[in-house]
Amino acid sequence: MQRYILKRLLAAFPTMAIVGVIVFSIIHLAPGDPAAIMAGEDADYEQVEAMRESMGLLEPIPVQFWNFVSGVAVGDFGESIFSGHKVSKLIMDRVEPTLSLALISLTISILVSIPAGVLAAWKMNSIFDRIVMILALTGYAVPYFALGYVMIILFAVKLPWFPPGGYVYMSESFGQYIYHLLLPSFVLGFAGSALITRMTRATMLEVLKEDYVRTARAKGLGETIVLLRHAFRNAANPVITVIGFSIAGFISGVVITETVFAIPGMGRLITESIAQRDFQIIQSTILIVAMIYVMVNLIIDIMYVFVDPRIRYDS
Amino acid sequence: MSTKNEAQDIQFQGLRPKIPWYISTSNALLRNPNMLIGVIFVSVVAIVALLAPLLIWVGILEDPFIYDPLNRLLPPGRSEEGKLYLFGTGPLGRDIFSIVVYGSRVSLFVGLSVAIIAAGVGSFIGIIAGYYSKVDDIIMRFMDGIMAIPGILLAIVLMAILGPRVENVIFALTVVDSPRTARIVRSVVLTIRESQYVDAARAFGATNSRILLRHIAPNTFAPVIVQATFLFASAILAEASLSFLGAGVPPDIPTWGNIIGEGRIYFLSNSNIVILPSIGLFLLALAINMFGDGLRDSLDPKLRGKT
Repeated sequence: MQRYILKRLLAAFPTMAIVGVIVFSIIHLAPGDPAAIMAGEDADYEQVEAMRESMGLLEPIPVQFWNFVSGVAVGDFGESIFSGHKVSKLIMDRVEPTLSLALISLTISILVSIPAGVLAAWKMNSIFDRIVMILALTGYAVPYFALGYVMIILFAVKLPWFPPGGYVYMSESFGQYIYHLLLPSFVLGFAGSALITRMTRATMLEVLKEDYVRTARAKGLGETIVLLRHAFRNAANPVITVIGFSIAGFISGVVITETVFAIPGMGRLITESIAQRDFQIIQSTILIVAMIYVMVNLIIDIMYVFVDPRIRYDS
Repeated sequence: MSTKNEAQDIQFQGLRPKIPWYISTSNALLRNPNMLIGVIFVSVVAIVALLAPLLIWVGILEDPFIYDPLNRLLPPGRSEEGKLYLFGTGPLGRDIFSIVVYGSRVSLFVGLSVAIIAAGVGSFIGIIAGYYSKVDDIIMRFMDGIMAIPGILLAIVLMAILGPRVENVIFALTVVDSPRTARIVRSVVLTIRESQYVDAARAFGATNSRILLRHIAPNTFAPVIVQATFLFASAILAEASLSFLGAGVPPDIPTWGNIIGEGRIYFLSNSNIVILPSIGLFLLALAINMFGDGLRDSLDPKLRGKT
């Protein structure tokens, strides 16, 4: 078991290293001269050169890469080209809205889609199953922004139940914080649920055909116990895998949902930075987002050990 | 008696007339109404998209490139001069209905291109990684690295570097989508590689390239074609998202994402600008996915209902 966890832990490093290389190359492929932007429009040649030197852009590429990596390792992401503020601080200010939105919508979609998938598989071809499958098919095809705007028009304008957008920090008022996140989380969670529901239903259908499920029923166990203890525990693995994959989808969705609901998160930071060509912020944000993704999947890999005893013994 | 029939069946299997492709296809379509609806809808959209320039030329459709400041932000219906704007007009006075019709050209073109290129590139990478175990680790770690960056973010950044052009949208989305295809193809190849017919081919002295082309590649075709339909739909949605965020196709080209992005700040007063093109987007993606679901069920019944 320890060996398995260690193996997973070690496998995460090359992935992160490659993300680092990709992100670093993006900066160096980007058009436009960051030193010229930083020095300002009126700067002459010498000033731009001086700025270039102070930004470390005159060093050989491998040295620059090393500086970048060693900076990131101690949490130093450099300064924003546009505003001159520390990138780490700019990002820290934006982490709370993004993570809250992603986590709440993930929770909503897990709480909705796993029971929906289990019940749909249990009552295959029933009206409930049909409705769930149609909703799941819809969730795949609906654009986040369209759903967001429809929700705002319906539940914030026509029926003023929810705020149409904006964000309240957790420290200001917890109730308002949740209240402001409900509508955007629903939008994001709806699309995310589609994948998890379909996966839960499909694996449950397979497991329910197994002999041990029939045996469990034959010896007179109640349906709830058969479904949850015998069937779902064995169907849980692929479902957990899909939840891990869908984290990337949630983060992608956050970028759009933040724009629709005017939430000042990391997604907005990236779209703003792109408009300002602030590649320092862009590269750091992407690196952090990718790190979160790799870490979540690492946690999921480790969760398998607890969900599936076979892994505990095999490795 | 029945055993005799079975024996005969096996004996004559090679002689049985092959069912022509058009009959087997129409059978599959009739057996699966969802798939039929999907195919019909996508075909209609594709035909209208192809004919759009003609429709503009004959005058049935307004020219979506014409800016008309006097008729901006009109609600759906007739203008004061009596001109019909079925879906209303945008913030620059462009006819939204024509943008929806004309914009389907860009959506379909981008979606189809990404589906074909990403499926091709992904299959190539997946086959190489799955067959040659020496390079497998390196290739797949690199793919993991790309997949660790959420798709839309990677696409936005690539677009910021490359600039707003249709070709660049296709390139950016191909970079995002190829690794996922590669992963699927690789897992298929890993299983086929160990099969007996590959061993047999090798025992006959077949070269690696012959085994790859004749025995392995054809067997990855079914999962790849299914994956390609899903890429088709997701690329259409991604293109619209990019344009919506202002990082996609140049703003003067009439596309669904562009008009939705333009209408963003007016969505409380003129929700038609955002909602109507979005419905088009949703229906097209839905139809393609319905087609993809059906295709998967008929190509591989084992995968029925899986994602």
